[in-house]
Amino acid sequence: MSAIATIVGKDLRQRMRDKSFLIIGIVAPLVLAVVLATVGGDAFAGRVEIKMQIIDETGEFAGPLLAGLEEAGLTGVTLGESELLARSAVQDGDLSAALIIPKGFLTALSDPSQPARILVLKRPDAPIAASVAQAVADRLVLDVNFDRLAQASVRVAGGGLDLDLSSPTQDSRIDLKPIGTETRVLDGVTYLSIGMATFFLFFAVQGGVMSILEERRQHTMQRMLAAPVSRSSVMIAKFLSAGVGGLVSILVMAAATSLMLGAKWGSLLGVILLATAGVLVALTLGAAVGGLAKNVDQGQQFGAIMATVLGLIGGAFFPVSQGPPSLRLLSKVSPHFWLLRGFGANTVSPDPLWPTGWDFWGSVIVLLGMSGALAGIGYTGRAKLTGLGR
Amino acid sequence: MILECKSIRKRFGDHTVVDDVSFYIAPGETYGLLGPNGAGKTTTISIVCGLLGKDGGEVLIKGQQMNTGTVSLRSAIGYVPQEIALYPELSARENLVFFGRLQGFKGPQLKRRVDEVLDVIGLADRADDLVAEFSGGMTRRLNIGVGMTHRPELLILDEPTVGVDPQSRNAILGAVERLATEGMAVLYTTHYMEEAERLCNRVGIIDHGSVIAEGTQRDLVRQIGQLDRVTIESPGALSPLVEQIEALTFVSTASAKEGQLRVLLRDGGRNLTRILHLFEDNDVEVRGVQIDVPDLEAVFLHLTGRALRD
Repeated sequence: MSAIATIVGKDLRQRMRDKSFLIIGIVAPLVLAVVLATVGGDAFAGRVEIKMQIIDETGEFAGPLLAGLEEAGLTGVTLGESELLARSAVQDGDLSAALIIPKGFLTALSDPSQPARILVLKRPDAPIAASVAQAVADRLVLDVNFDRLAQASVRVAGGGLDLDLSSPTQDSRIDLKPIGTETRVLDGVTYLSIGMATFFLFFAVQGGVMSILEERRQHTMQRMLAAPVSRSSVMIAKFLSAGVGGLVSILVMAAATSLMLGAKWGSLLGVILLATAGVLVALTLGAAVGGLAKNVDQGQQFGAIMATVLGLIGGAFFPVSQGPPSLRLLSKVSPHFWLLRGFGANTVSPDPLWPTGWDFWGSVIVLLGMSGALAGIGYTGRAKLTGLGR
Repeated sequence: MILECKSIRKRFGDHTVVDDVSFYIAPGETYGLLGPNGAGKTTTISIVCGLLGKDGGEVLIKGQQMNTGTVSLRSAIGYVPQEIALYPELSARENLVFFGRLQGFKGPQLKRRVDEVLDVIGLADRADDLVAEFSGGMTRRLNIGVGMTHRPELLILDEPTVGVDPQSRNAILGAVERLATEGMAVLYTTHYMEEAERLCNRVGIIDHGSVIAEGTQRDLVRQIGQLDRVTIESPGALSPLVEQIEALTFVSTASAKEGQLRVLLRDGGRNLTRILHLFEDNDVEVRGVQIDVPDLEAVFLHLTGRALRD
């Protein structure tokens, strides 16, 4: 036990003196979280600012439309005076898009022979605003057509229902809010904070595991193993120090982003449990990768590639729930996906102290399963990791 | 005996790197394992230290079996690898303290030992400097110091002077001599014949994984009959001369190879002129002459047909 403590102490002292650990483990994720939250945090939080104008020549639709868009998280949408001015503003780049509802649009509601037309002005370099404007227009036209169909149906049936179709229905309020269980439950800042922390956690932990290969390279591993210390003690100590480094990294990130950015990590116990499970996966992944590597450089390259790919497909940078079905399926092999899912569940857990719910505990179980499988792979390559044969 | 190696063998795939190696070291004795690079010295040492498994034979430390899983016997050994095995981002003192703790030392006893070692290796005034800032000679000295922090009964030094400046080499050899006089057994591998001659009570000559000769320097020299070795360089035809030279009564053997005539003979200094007369009589040009009195280098050359540093 004393030997393990001695090695862990030495490793931590080395890591504290090694600026790369501080950069990878703490500074880089923190800076990236701050930068991404500043640049795109509103989008992650469901608030998107677009420079769009609505020119409602009927005077009937603008009010409900603005309210609907604001409720959906779209800001920056204003009322315009005329098509001419809007067209000029879009051309000059003062506006990203404009939606013109002509006078005839209201007539089209009661007269099916009249075409229901809405004009959408878009800038090609503002695809998001263009898409939003187009979606709003499509929805309005769809509503008109739906009302016409209902009206026709009533006529065909010979019914005497008196439908009031002269004014926009409540359905014209556009609902763009995310729904369903697959959608993100984290606000933008929290999502980015957790994403960056889990992404760099793998780099921080694997840096520690790769120090085993580094000890091989600088021959200190042989020297340690020539001392009256068992091989298992040396390996336990090396993994322990790598794990402690990872835990410190994620806990510092949780504390810093909570205080500086207002990120919500949920219960501390939940954070510690998930972070520990994540560290175990990172450790065993590092061991598996290290066992395959010929030297420390190759090990670091393999580790970096694995951490980056898993982070990307696991949703560390963007919510995979908004991606295509194939990505959503693929993301489930990434520990980052389960970490984000678990952390998401932890933030909304009704018990502030004890995390509850299948999303949390299921994620912990999956992560432990992953680390078990990776540990098996790492165990087969243990002799290669220490560089010493039997 | 502090160390007994009995017929140890090690193979890597189809290649036998240590083949039936046996030797022993008594307490207080300095034993040299002398051989060229790739002879099997480091592999032998790795097996002795329990870092590498063996395919046959046995290693006994103080009469007890030493294997890769044996932990308790390791405190009897101080291992100094050929390569610098230190943490550059730690200071000299921190390196010594770390490895001293792994040996079970702690508290004032550890501090006292570390200070003593720093004095012995001449780094007391640089104790708190990072190893990364040290010169090659200083790191070499610290590399050795780490191996002796716990006062081992057997100090194993694997080519400790490779790449060291003459001043540091002398300091290292002096330190090893002092340890030997204090009663520490030393296993010293080198391919520098002069180091083995200076330090070692007994020498084992190892080549291609086998110990081909063993004994004191005097024993080994006696094996080649205490003959001097004369090497004559010439661009001429040497083969016809070999028979004539071997016919001389004071010559033991003569051979010609790659523009060199090598002769083992008694009293080389006095009899050389008679050999050179034969060169003159046969009109063969002489470009260089070297006389080597019997030493371990000559023994190695005699036994293997190669120089130690070939």
